[in-house]
Amino acid sequence: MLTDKEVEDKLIAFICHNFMVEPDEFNYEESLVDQGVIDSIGLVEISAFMEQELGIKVAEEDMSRSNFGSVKKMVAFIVRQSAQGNLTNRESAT
Amino acid sequence: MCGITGIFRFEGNTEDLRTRVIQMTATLAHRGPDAWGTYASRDIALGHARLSIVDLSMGHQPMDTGEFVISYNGEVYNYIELRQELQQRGIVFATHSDTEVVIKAYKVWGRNAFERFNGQFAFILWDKNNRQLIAARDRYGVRPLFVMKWKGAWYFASEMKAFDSLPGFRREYDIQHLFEHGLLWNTIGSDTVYKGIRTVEPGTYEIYTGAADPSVHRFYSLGCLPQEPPASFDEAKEELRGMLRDAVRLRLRSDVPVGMYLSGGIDSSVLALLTSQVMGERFKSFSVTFGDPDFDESSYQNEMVSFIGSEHHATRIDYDTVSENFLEVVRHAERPLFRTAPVPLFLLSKLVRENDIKVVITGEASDEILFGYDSYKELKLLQFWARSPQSSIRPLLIKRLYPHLRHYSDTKAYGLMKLYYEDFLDTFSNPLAGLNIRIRNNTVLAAALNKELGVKFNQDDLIDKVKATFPADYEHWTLLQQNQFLEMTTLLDGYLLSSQGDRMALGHGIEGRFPFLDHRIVEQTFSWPDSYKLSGFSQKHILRSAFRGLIPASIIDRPKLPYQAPDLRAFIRNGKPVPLVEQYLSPEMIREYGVFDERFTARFLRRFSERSSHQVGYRDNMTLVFLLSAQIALYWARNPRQTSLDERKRIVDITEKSAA
Repeated sequence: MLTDKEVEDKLIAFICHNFMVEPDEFNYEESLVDQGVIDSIGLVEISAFMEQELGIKVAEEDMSRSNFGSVKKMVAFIVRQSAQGNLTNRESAT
Repeated sequence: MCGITGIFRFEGNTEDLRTRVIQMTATLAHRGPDAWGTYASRDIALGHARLSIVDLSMGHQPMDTGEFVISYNGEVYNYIELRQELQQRGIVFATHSDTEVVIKAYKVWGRNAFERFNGQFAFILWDKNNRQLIAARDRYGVRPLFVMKWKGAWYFASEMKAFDSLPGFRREYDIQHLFEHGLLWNTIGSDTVYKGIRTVEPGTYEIYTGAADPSVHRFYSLGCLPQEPPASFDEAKEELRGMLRDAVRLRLRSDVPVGMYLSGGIDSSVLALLTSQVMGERFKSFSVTFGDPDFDESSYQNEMVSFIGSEHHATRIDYDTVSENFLEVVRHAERPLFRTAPVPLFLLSKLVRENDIKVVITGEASDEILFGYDSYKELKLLQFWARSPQSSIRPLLIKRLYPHLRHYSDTKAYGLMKLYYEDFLDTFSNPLAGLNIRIRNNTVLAAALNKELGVKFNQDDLIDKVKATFPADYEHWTLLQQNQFLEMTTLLDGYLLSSQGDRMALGHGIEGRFPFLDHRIVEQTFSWPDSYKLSGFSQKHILRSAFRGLIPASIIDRPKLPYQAPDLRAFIRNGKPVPLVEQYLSPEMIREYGVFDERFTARFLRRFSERSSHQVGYRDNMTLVFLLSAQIALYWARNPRQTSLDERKRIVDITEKSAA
C-alpha cells in the first residue's frame, strides 16, 4: 500500500503534467478549481486518474469538497479508500 | 464602411504631416477600397478610406464645411429624420450623406447631438474655430477608434496597424493588459493589449485641445434611458416584433443593395424574415458550412433559405481552411483570439464581396440582450442553489445546464460537476457575476506567461478595476442584468464586434449592420423582467415566443449550438501540430518574443500527442488559440505589411493654411 507521501507525489506529478503547472505554483491546501488550476473537465480527469492509475473506487457520494477540496484532501481520501479496501477490480486483482 | 485616421499637434511641417496621414490611411485601405482623401492644416490632419454606401457621388471625406472637418466611419441610420429636423431650423445641406448630418447636428446641438444618433459610428471631428478635436464612438463599440500619444502628438485610427506606419514606432504588448484580455476576453475600460495605445470607449467622446490628456465624456451607458413600467409578456412580445422590424427597416437604408448573414440560428432567421418582409423583394443571403458534420448547420440554413426564398450563397470551411487563413485573420484582428470562429467570418465577407454586396444584416447581440448565453443559466442555477445550499435537489439542475455535453449528463460525472459549481457558491454574486467562471477557467494563462515578466493575478485588484467601469445604477440591477453589462463590455465589445465582427467584415470591405444593437431595443429589453428573457432554462424566451409560428419551428426549437469552429482539429493533426503552430510556438520564437514561458508551451504541445483532439476540453482549446494568435499578432506588429493607395482613387486633397 502506498504511503501518504507516495500518494501525494503521484497526484502532484499527475496534476503538474496534466494541467501544466509547477509544483510550487499552487497551494496544496486550497481548492484547485478556486486557484484556476483545473476546470470542470479537470475534476473528471483527476477522478479518472484515481480510478485507473491508483485503483481507487470513486462513487458519486464521494464527490464532495471534503474529499476533492484540495490536494491534501484528495490524498487523505485516496489513502482512506485504499485502507478500507475500496479498490477497483482491476487493482484488487493485481 | 470606412477607415479613418487623424493626427493632432504634430510638430513638423504640413507636408510631413500630410505624408504621415496618407501612410496611415494606406494601412486601412481594405476598410474603404472605393476612394480616399486627406485634409491637412498646420498641426492637424485627417485621413479617410471610403467604402461608398450612402450618397455615392457626394459624400466624400474628409468633409470640410468651413467650420468643421470630419473623418467619419459608420452609419447614423436616422439621418433622414435628423436632416429634416435640422432643415426646419434653417440648416442648409449640400449633400444627401449622413456624414453631413453628423457635422450639422454637432453644429446645432453640440455634444448633445450624439445621443440623438441611432447607429454605429466612430469619427474624428475638427472644430476649426475652437481649435478642438472630438473623437467619438457609438454606444456599443460596433465601430473602432484607437488613440495613441507618441512623441508629443496624438494619433487616431480605426485599426492599430495604422500606427505601424509611423517611422520609428513599434507596437509592444503591455503584458498585464494582455493577461487581463486573456482572463476577461477584453481589456478593461480604454486599455488595449498594446503599450501606449488606448481605445475610445463605446458610448463616449473625448475632447482634445492640446498636449494634455483629453476630457472624456459619456453620452450613453446601459440602462440610462427611462422606461415605461414593464408591459405584460404578450405586450412585450408585440413590442419586440415591432422594434425589431423598425430596426431592420432603418438598417436597410442604403444606396447599395443589402444582403444578410444566415447562420441557421434563431437570431439571423428572425432578421431574415423581417428583412424579406420590409424589403419586399428577393435578397442575397450568405452562410458558412463546415465539412465536419459536428459543426455544420447547413440543414437549418437551407430550411430558412427555402422559407424566405433568398438567393443563397455558401462557403465551405474545413480544417485546412482554418489553419491556412489564420495568419491573415490575426493580422486583421490585431489581438489575441480565443477561438478560430473569426476565420469563417473572414471567408464569409470574401464571399459577400465576390457577390457584389457591401452591406450585410447580421444577428449579433441577441445572446447578450435576451440572455442567450450559458453564463445566464449558470448564474440562475447558482442563485437558486445558494438560497438552500444544503439541498440535494437544487443542484440536480446542473444536469440540465449542458445536456449536449456528455460529461454533464453522465450520472457519475454529476457528482464532479456539482463539486465544480459548488466552488462558485460563495463568489458568484460578487461584482464579476458570470465572469467568475470565465476568469477561473482562464487563469491557466498566468502559468503560460513568461515568468520573468512578473505578471500577478490578484482577483481583488481585478474586481476594483472592473468596478470602476460600472454605471451608477449597477448595484440596483438584478444579477442577470449585471451579467448582461459584463457580457456586453467583455465578450461583445472585445471579441464579437471587433475580432470576429468589424475586423473580419472590413477585411474584405464589408459593412455589418446589427438590428439587435438598436439602442431602443437594448434599453427596452433591459427594462423587462428577467423571466421574459430566461424562463426556467429557456433562453431568449421572448424571442422564441414572439416568432413562433412565423419562422419554422425546427429553428425555434433546435438545440443550442454555440457558434464555433473546429479549433484544435485545425491545428493538431494526429497528435502533431501543423506547420503554422510548429513555427509560431517553436522554442525559438517563444524565446525571441519573450511573452510566454518556454517550458509551459513545450509541455502544452506535448500534451496533444498523448490524446486525441476529441478528448481535449474548452480550456486547452482556448489556450492553444490564445498562445498561437498572441504570437502571430506580435509577429505582425514587428513585421507590418507595406501597403499603398491608388492615386486614381484620391477624391479629397485639402491642404489648408491656417492662421498661425
